[in-house]
Amino acid sequence: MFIQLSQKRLAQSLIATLCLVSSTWGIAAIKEYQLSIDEGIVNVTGKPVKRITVNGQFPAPLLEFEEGDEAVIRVKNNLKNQDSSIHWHGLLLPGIMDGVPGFNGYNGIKPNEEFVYKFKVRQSGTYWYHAHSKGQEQDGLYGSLVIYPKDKKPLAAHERTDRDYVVMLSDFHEQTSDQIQKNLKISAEYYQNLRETLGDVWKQLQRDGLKATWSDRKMWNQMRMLKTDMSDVTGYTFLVNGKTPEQNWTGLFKPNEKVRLRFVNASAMSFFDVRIPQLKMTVVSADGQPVKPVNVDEFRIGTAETYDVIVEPKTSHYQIEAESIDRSGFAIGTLHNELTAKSAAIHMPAARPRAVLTMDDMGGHGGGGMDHSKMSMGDMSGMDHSKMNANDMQGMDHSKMSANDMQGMDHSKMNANDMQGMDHSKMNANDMQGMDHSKMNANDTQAMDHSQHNSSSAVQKNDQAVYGWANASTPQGDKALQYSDLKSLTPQPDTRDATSELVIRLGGTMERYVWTINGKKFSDAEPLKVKYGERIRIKFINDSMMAHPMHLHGMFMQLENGQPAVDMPNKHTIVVPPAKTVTALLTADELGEWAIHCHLLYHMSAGMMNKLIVANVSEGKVSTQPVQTSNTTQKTEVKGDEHANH
Amino acid sequence: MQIINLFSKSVLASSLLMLSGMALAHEGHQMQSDASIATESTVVTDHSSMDHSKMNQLDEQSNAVDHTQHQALTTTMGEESIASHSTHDHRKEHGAQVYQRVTIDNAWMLDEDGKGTLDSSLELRIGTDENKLFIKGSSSKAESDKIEYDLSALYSRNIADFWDVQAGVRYSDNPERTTDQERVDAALGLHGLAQYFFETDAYLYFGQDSRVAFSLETERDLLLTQKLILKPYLDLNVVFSDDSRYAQKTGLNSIKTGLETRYEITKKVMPYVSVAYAYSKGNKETAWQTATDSESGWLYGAGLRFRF
Repeated sequence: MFIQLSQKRLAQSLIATLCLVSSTWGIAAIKEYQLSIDEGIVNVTGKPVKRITVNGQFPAPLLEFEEGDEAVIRVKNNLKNQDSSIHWHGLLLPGIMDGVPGFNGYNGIKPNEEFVYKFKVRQSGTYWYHAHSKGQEQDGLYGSLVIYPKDKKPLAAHERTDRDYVVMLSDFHEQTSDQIQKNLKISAEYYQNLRETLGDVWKQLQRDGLKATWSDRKMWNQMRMLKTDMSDVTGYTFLVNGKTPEQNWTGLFKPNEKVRLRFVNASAMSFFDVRIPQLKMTVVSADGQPVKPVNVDEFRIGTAETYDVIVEPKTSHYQIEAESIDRSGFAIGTLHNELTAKSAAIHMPAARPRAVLTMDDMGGHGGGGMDHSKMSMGDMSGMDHSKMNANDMQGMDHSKMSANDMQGMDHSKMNANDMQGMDHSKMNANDMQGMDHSKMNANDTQAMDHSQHNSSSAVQKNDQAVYGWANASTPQGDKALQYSDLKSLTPQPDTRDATSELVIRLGGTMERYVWTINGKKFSDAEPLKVKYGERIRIKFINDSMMAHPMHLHGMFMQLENGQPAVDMPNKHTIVVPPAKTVTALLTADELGEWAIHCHLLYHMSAGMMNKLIVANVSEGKVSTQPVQTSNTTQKTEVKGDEHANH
Repeated sequence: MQIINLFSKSVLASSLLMLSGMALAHEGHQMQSDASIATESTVVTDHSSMDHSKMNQLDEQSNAVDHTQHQALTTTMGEESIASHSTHDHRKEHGAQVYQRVTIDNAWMLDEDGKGTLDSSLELRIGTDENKLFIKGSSSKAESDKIEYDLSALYSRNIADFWDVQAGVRYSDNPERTTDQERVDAALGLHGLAQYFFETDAYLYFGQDSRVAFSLETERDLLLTQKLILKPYLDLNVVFSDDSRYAQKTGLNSIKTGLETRYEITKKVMPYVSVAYAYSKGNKETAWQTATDSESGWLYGAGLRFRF
């Protein structure tokens, strides 16, 4: 009784009971954490809301381990009337420690109960952890988990850095996960606020003519799909390490230091395009697993993926910009030279053009997907407004300007007596630094609204669109990371060819918000069974027009990205773009029941999940199809049920 | 007949009760009170028991299959798996949840003579993706007339990606009549989203006195902006046969087509204006009524729709 009371008090006063018992004298160090899951009031957007906290923190605290540690994590559920659970995302561990209710005999953590996770830490890298119960992940039960190499010794010379930061991206909503899920079921378009209007149809008619417009729209209408559906839920505030752009998470560095940034996409429903303007990034790890260095300017990170990059900042100030792929906002943080004065405000970048899905994203139908991707103007530097001279510039509208680079735009000699109503608010520029209005000479600039150039609140909307899911509007000449760039740093131990194939067909009915694997929701599906020790090709076939970040628990998959088997990168989460097929190899060497699911939270809740059982199953009871050698490979689909193939 | 009436009334009464319970539960939920969860869960249990009665053997089969597999698994996984399965099936949280949706609509429509009618309708959907209960009610109160209303309870079974087949009863009450005010029809129909995004409901009704009729309602959204939305719609009724005391003329008995323009203040509150052209063929001559001629004309008005 007394213990209960005192525990309650601890929880109420939100004291972090993070205790660390590290014994260096033993053979294996025991690293112990105590996590207490509570309800608490959090205020992210200015509106206090009840959410889930861990040790009083929102989001949950960073956990750190070293490879070889014995992890002991005591998790206490103080939620009033709901079970909870924590899953260690990307970790190799015994099935019951994986933390998915209904798997391996694990049943979640009942209210007021504690579950002790114990496992040997068998890997290093950047990972994260989150609830696997209903929508608790969205409501705050997520945090980052970093495992350093043994004795923090870098894996390779290029990984030697002076600073090491986690940059955890996430999406916060003022509505609870429960409300969001219900709303999506009331109407799948509940959060769609960028659908095409009659105006868009009219514009297309004028541009492409009746015939082309009709043939383009016919397919979408017959399929009952929206080409503007880049993300199902909007209204998010995007966070870096739990901080809004205004709160501006800042990582400090000294000149000439190398900084490791561990990007974790811990969002529930969002993909991000990540860049640090003026700073090259070297990707050294994907999904926690080391890869050969790749120099990039930007990368797209799917929900639940992680990427580690190393940067070498030269100037004093950089901004980390992670833009959601529906262009509804940014997660923003700062890298700052600690020896220079801190500039407080962040600069809210202009949104990039939003991608519109094409026939190619629709699955086996199109082929004639138009590519307008080059239409966006690459460079407008040197644009000169200097000779503009107007007595009356009321209503001047720059809203349609779309440029990726407007550096050096010079308004210096503008001379206006009256610039009321001049509105630059919708100017679309990725980089407007150096735009100089300083010498503008105006008698009356009262209503001239430049506020949003610096404002951290509103994102400048971009009305332009580009075509195709994969089009990130990367500036010409810039390098965006591709899956095919990833090569494992160390040679893969298993380079066998696959002896059988497991087909994972991703489908759904957007309109009813039903999402399936092999045509079945998890509630109706039979588990997928594979043979212990077998080398399997997992073939993700996306029949839907949404990208699905497919996550496998308990084992790493080797992504077939065009690299030789020995170089294939390990992944725990693989983004399968709309209408595309992505394959990966898997050595089924971890016995147990492992979740395989789409990591978009509401897709998983709607059914896009299954159980992959690795067991000593007899031939003929597996869900895989043997791979035919030499003969024409039959592309029959495995429906997730038993296929007696012999 | 009496028995049927009693039965239908009790069905309707209980569904109404359920409905009010749902509304309460929902309001409560908005206020984040713990009580709402209790109410909700009772309703959920209520429904699930109902589900079972109508579930076909498919579900049972799959359960059985699943169980055998589980046993096979336990040989490698140990005892704990059995325990996990017997307590709570977590898979239900991934696709088998019960959801609900309520739509309440009130519109004041005027005809060309300036005569007004208050049209109200209510629709509750509750259930899983596969099995749902639809309660639909509508009432019409013309100026100087008594209120006419009908209420349907339909079981809705998902049969294809975009389609449900529905079956149930419709009860209607028309106090303007001197006899046979109350009627009960069996309803069988389709509900879903047709190609080109046409939201469609089509029903066949079978009642006493050889009454057989077909109704079709279809509509589509056309976005002017994300919030200002045009909705052309078409409602029609075809009477195949009717030997009742208040028989309607057979053939295309009524048709109404119009254009609604709504503004979605939120997805929950949607005021609208509507213009429609309506035609009705009229009534047959019987011992209880005189024949009426066909009528047609414009209707216009405004309404307010809530959905939650």
